[in-house]
Amino acid sequence: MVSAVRTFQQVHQPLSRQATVAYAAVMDHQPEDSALMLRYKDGDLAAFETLYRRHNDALYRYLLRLCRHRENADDIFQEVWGKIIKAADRYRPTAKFTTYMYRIAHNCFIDYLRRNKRHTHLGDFDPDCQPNPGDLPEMAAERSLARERLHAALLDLPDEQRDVFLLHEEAGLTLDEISSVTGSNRETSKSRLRYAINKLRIAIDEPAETS
Amino acid sequence: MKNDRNDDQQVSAAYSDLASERAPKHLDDSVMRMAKAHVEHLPYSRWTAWSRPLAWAATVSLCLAITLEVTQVTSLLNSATETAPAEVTTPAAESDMDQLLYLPDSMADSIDSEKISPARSAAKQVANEPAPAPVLEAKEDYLQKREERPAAAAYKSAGYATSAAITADMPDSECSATARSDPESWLECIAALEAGGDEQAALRQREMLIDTFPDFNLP
Repeated sequence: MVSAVRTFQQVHQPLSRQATVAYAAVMDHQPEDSALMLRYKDGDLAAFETLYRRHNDALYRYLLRLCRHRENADDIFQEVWGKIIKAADRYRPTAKFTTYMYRIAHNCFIDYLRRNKRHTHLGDFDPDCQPNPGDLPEMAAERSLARERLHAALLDLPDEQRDVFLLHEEAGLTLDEISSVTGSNRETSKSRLRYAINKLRIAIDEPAETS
Repeated sequence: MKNDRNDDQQVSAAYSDLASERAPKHLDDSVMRMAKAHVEHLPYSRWTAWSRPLAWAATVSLCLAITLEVTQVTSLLNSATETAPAEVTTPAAESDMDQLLYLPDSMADSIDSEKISPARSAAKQVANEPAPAPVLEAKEDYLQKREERPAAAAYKSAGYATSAAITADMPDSECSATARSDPESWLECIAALEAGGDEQAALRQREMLIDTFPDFNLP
């Protein structure tokens, strides 16, 4: 099963990421997030739409897995973008836009936790994964099982570790940027990320023991 | 270290496979509505972008309008003053006025006089009125100012009549009106008075001469 997962990774993961970067570099020059935000500050709605399309899905997945409730994730998602929009007049590109955006999202999630003290640890959503049409039935079943285990392991992670892992995976932030977003020091963030990855790897590799 | 990196890649790949959710359409619409509403209510936006050029354009237009107005009024007054001494308005002067008011003769003739604009009527009236003779006006002003001078007032309070009164009431025994009409003859009269030993009368006549003909260089 492990070999099947690794084969899948070798085939799909490097190809998709490198291809995206290569095409982006060759086809056109993408304006930076901060430049788009400054254009929106001057009233350019199209710039905001470009910025939004660039980050909406990643932010949504981050909030969905952080909150573990679709409705709450929806509310926080709107709250985050509402704050970004309202603060556009005062926006100054002192840091990466993603750092700025995920700091707002992190703070909104903290507020959400304070408002909802009866925060349950059970998730109420299932991942939207569709089976790959090219997969053999056996491989599709194994992938589906792996996803379920990873999903369950991710939801079982402590909030801080899950937060750091999602910031690393979804936002692509470095440890320093994660520290800036979460307000913790670099070593703490590194330690949380390491714990999270170890737990998830165990969940992927040893399904029988963890389940 | 290498194992850690492999673990990272393995978990990242598994997570990439897992996390394929997309933001729902209704959230996209909601956020874009918020963004649009914010742009529409921006205190800046297009008005701010255009306010400075508009202000400059308005200032330049105002300056041009004032300059043109002042130039027109000045030229109108100048032409009116120039044509004033001829008491009867000549056709040439009227033609000048028409040119100033941007009306060709044919058009001006075709327009009924009652329908002529008030500004044009006033300008024509100014052009038709005879201007006061500049020399006479200047002399009257001079005499009036001379009467109002402190020295004249002191002279009057000391019992002396002012030059105008003196010249009017002066006996012909000192200097006759004919002699006073010309500074040269007046000076000869003064010299005759001095020669005759009438120093007071000579001094009085000299002062009157200076007052009446201030530009005349006494020897």
